[in-house]
Amino acid sequence: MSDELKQYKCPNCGGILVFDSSTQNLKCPYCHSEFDVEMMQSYDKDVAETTDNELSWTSKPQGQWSQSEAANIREYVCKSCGGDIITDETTAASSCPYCGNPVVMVNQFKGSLRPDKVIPFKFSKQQAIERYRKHLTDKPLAPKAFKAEKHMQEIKGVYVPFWMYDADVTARARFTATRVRSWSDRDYNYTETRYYNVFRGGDISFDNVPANGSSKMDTVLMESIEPFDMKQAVDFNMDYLAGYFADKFDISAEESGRKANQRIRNSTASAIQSTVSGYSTVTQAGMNMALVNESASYCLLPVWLLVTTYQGKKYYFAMNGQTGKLVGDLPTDTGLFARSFALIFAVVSALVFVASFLLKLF
Amino acid sequence: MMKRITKLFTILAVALMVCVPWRALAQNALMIDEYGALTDTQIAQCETQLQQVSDKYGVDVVALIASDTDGKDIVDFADDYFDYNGYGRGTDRSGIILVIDMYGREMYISTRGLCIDYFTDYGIESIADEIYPYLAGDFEGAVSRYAQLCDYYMNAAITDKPIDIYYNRLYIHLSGEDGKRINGHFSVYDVNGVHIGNIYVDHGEGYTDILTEDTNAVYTISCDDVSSKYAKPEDITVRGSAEYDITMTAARAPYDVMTGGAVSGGAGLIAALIGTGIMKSKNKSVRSKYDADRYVERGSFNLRDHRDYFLYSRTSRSARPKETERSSGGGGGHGGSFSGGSSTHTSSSGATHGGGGRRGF
Repeated sequence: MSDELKQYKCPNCGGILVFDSSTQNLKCPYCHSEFDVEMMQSYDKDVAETTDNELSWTSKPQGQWSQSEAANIREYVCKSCGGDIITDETTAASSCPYCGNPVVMVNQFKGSLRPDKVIPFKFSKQQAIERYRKHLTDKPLAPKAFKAEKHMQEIKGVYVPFWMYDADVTARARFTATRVRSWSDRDYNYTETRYYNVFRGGDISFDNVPANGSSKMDTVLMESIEPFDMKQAVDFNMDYLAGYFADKFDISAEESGRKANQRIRNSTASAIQSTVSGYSTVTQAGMNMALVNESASYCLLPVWLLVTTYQGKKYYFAMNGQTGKLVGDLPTDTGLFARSFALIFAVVSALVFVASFLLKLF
Repeated sequence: MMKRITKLFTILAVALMVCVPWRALAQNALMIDEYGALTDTQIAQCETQLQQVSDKYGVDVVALIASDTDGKDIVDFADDYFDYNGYGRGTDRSGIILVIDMYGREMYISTRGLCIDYFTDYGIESIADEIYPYLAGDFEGAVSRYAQLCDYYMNAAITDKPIDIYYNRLYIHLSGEDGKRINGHFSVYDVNGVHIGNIYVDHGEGYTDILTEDTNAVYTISCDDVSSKYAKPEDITVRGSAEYDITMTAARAPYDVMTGGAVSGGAGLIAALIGTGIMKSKNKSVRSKYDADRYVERGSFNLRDHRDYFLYSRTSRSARPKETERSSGGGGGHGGSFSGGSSTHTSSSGATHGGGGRRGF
């Protein structure tokens, strides 16, 4: 065979492989490893096909408000935090759900994208307050301010804009795996490590991977109240706005898609890696993903929101308006903390001291 | 004819009689006087005495006054006399023999069987020392005293323990539960304040390296150091005068508040940190999501291609550590020439004997 063979690098030591006519294999002149020609070609192709890449969403949501709908929308703006909320003409907004400061109505509703879907509120305000109260019962170090009844009434129902991503993913992943074997003789302990190249290719589909579309809502807070059940989502209708506020999206589908990509990537990688078995170690060497049938839709998701100001900082509480899941980080009341610490310290020290005295340990 | 036969028989009889080991015929006797140092009455009396002691303990207590040792070393002579003359009772052939060599002017005691343990090296030496003065002329007294001493020593060995050197060492015993927890080094001073030795006390017990015969001596003990939380040197008091036993009590050291307080404080601190840590963690519920597993369309995962192939292998090795030599520590020293117990040797007949003696009486 005189056709020019591509130069292959030895997977073990990196030296250029040479064709050995006696064995009909590719041989490394440096480390003397031998490789089957077909296998090297396959390996090379696998390496090329599994380079990491970034996903990008090409489709864009298209919804537009109708004229009659636009006429009934009232938009309010908060001067102190820049919060931008819309509601229908029957609902009056007085304070900003994000910072508690007063909001001012904007004269002209500036057109924006119309939501495709909405999940209606399943939990009423009363129920939300009830859950919130219960949540605080096992938080011994929470400052009293959070438990004030009057304050709990401030809880507001907000529709938070989300981008929901659907995609069929085709992934090609490559792993370096090892099998380790040990044995000993009189003088030495031996360890043999055998290196393998593992290639996997597969498909996986995702439905409605959510990503926060509002910069006013903390992304991590929104992730914490997941999941939302999209099966209960309905086509958007102005009626749902009555009594609630909806935030206008201000993060593009492209931008918020990056977090969604990361999560999709992680799920794909772990699904594929779970098919690799029988090795001592497995390390991902690269994964290439391609999106097919991707779409992003704009959806309003129900959230009960309460903002509490404590010592100059704002603390947010969010409850999933559909499932009732409640999250929010509470600060530690230093007074309570000190008292608890002192109490535990005193009790335990006293017990240990008395016990050691009686048991004559010292 | 008859006269000739009678003469022949007489010669044969005489010859036989000469050849007979007369010594062997005397094997049943416990008192043997070859030399002729004792009268017949004395021999009979000694025999009775020795017989009494022998029967009392089930061993042969033998005494021999020999003219000489047939050219042998007295140790071998004594062992062989005992072995080859069938002395010794029971399967072990237990017994003790006193040999007084009138020619070599030395005496030796050999033991076999149970008597090896009954009479320690120290015991034999003591008996020899006691008998020695009698050998100046009172041989009956010597044997009689020998019999008495054998009785005394065997009685001690059976009812308590064999008389041995430790009886004459100073012994400290710290009493009580607290006493058992004391290890320490003590110095011993005699009545004039002269330092005469040391005692190491381990878990409340200790022997000195001082050998003393004086049962009425008074000693003072001072403590050099103690390694125990239960007593301070100044809390150790000597109770009673020191005879063979010194009894000390250790006063309980008061509860160490510093250490107790420090440990309690530490425990309290750890508990408080853990407790408040748990309480604090309850305040946090916001967590980022790492994956989109919940949004995977069920059953959509489909593996289409899979290829696993071997690339290369690498082998490494490491040398195994070699076993290092370990030397065992040496034991403590002892005062005096005796270390207790009975030393033994093997006699020409292959039997094991203990023994000891004195020269030049």
